[in-house]
Amino acid sequence: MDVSSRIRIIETPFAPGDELAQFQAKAAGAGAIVSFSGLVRAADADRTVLGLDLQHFPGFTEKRIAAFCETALQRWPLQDLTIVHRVGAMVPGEPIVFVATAAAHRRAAFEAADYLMDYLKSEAPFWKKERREDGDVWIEPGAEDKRDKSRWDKA
Amino acid sequence: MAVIHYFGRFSDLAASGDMPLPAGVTDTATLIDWLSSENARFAEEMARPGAAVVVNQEIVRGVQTLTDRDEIAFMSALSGG
Repeated sequence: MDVSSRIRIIETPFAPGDELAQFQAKAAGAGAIVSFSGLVRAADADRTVLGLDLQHFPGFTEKRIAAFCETALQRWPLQDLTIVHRVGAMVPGEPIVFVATAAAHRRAAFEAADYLMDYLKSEAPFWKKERREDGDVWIEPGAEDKRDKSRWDKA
Repeated sequence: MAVIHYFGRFSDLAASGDMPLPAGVTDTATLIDWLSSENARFAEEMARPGAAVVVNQEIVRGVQTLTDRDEIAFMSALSGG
């Protein structure tokens, strides 16, 4: 599977429903498809979020994401996967990430999608600045993100 | 011309772009010293956990020789997606 062709980092809005429909059409024959859509939150730590500015390092970011997609493919019998990630300026409610996995059976699809999201949240080279009412703040992975990722180290 | 990118907190300090390596800059250590002499906050950001230097899309461990053909990136701690 050519993983790099399944990772898209885009600066324009996207519709997770359309992404899922396209993924499902390509994954004909799969017994299970799991998808996750992440949206820009309207509040963080009880503070109103006005928007997000997300940076990536073209080439480097895709390469790092491809590396953990390859690990997912070795770990679970996936038929297909896709990752769409938005960068640039966004406002609350807009889709920021879409992950989908396809497999013969549900467990592999569920676990691989969960794994990919945990790695995206903690290891992917993105830099996120939240624009809040009380000023702009650079975001780093929290303790929960690190705990979530560590589940896969033990398994 | 080298290409220098600044990501995360570093992007608050400088704009990414092409620039000739300054006189006396021959490696990542002397470049960091030069950038820190231009802006003291640069050294503060380099000292923060998670700060990293990437040359030609590979993370640098230690010190790496630089030329005017290199792509250099300064990254603060990753936010994740």
